Amino acid sequence: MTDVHAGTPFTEEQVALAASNYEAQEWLLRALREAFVMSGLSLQDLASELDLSSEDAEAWINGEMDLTLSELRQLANVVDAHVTYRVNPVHTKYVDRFERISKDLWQEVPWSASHEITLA
Amino acid sequence: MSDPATLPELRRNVYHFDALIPVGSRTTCDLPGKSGSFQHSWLDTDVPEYMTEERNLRSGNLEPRLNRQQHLDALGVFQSLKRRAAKGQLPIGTTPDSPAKVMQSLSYLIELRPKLSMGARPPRLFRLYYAEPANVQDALLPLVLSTKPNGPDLQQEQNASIDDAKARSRVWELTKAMKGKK
Repeated sequence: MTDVHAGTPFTEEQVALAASNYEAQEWLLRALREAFVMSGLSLQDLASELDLSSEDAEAWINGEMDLTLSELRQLANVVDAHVTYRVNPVHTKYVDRFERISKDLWQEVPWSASHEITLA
Repeated sequence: MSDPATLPELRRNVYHFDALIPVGSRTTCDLPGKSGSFQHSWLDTDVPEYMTEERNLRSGNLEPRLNRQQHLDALGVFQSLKRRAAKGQLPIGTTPDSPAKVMQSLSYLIELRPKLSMGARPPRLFRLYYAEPANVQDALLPLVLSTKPNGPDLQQEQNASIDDAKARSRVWELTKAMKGKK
């Protein structure tokens, strides 16, 4: 086997961030499934509301489909769920790059700032 | 590997992998995650070929047809799934969205299956194959990190990965037996 080791390895922090983002997505899908159960809707109801086949509606709610953001919003609306997106800047790679970039090009923003966007 | 003269004898005696039965016992022992009292160990440095594949994934070079961010995404998913398996909180199923699945063609082999969907349908899917060795307490043994086509597997690449996992698990068992004889 050829040991292809030419690229820069990802840092532990980058991998941990990727794992955390995956877990957040899993949590979101699980919560939407719970909201669907609590809504009392049947799969046929869901399919009808979203104009999908029953199979596709089941795939949506089981997380088998990679939904677009607008599809996610529509699903949340149908199952009476309030979805909140929260974004926190973290330091896994950009801090080094910022130091190399001319300060004339950037207005410094404190990393402690976070932005919260609420949808649905 | 140490003294080659002992290999034929060992191959006769230990040419199989001794897996924990039922398969997946450690991976699923704490579903639905209530107890929190299990912590199995991944033997990440026991299989040299796996270590090379893991290094290549970590460097974004395991699969040239997938980009660097897809490699990082897979790394994150594998880390999360491995952590859940170590806690005994990873369900094993057969549906398309199951994060883990037992291989039909090699009944002790478990497959971790990250979903990859960045932009257009990705041409390849990352897979991690592992087993639960019966003779090492609380251990999970990663064997192969590879990719397979996202669609018809015309070249039977997944079967090739499973064959690799089978061979590596046997070599691992052999090596362990040889160390035990010393």
